[in-house]
Amino acid sequence: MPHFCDAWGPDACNIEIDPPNLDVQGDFFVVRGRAVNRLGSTLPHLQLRMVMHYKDSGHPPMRQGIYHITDRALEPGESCPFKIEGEYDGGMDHVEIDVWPSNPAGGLHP
Amino acid sequence: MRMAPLRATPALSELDEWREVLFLGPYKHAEIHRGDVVLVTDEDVDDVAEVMGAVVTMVTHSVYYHALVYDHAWRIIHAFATEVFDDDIRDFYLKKTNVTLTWLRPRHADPEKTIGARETSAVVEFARRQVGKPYDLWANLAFLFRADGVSRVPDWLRTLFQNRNWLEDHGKWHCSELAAAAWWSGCGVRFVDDMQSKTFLSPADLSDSIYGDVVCSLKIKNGGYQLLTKQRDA
Repeated sequence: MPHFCDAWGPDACNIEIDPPNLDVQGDFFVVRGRAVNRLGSTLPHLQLRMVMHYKDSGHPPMRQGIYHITDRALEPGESCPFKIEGEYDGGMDHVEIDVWPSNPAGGLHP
Repeated sequence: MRMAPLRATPALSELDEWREVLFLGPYKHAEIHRGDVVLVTDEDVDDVAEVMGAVVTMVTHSVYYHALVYDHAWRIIHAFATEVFDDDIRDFYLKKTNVTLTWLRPRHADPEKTIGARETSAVVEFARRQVGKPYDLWANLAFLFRADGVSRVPDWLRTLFQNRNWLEDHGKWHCSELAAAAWWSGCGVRFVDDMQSKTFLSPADLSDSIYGDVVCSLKIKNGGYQLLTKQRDA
């Protein structure tokens, strides 16, 4: 069964988001891209965190969710595509995505 | 976003034997198909099933706690609580107070392979053959012991909960197992890289899959309806 990598943190992968970052389709947004394992070790599975930024600079960025992208192990340099869809509210501007847990000691994983 | 008139209720218009248009008022509509997977969010926790659902959403970090296979003319097939049921979505969900139903359209990894009436019919027929079979409560518990679940549990315990090939064992069903198996058996659509893995699929796995696209969401909020679609407002 998968075990967890000591080096696994928010920067464990290079996240490449396809333009236009936030693809607005009617009442929804779609974010597509791929995560590339940038570590020298294998990631046992892949879970991403997406933070939404807003057009209004006074609006704080908000975490949209945690997404379990694959149960498959990712070898060093290997990539995995992802797609995240959600409800668009008109004020959303762009997203940032990193690997979760950002703080391995504070998440569900050791 | 153009809103439907107050008190508008959802309605269907049949295009053919496998496609319908879901309407809400004069402006909002979406084409839904036989076999579409419907993902369910319920903000209320009124019964044991919804308590279980709340646990599923917490463990899987998803808003979705249930998945079902849409048939036609409001009929749905789903594994829920005690067994696999054939229900009417109007009776089962549209009378609730705070529910969101999201239609997801699965597709092949190969964009050249299309899905039509024959394929979706096979998906629904597979699901229909499972009606009456018992619910797989074990799979609900198994979400806790997936790679993305609770850590610090011994491997033997993870293995205990992740060691059943639900694609081949059709004796009992969990909601997302049934939806995924219907698409896999019906026309070979997969939701994850390794469908033969003995890891149980959750509703979140279906919603996050790159092999499916959201079509629309029917939201019931305090008893009123809202239809979200991917079409631009006219």
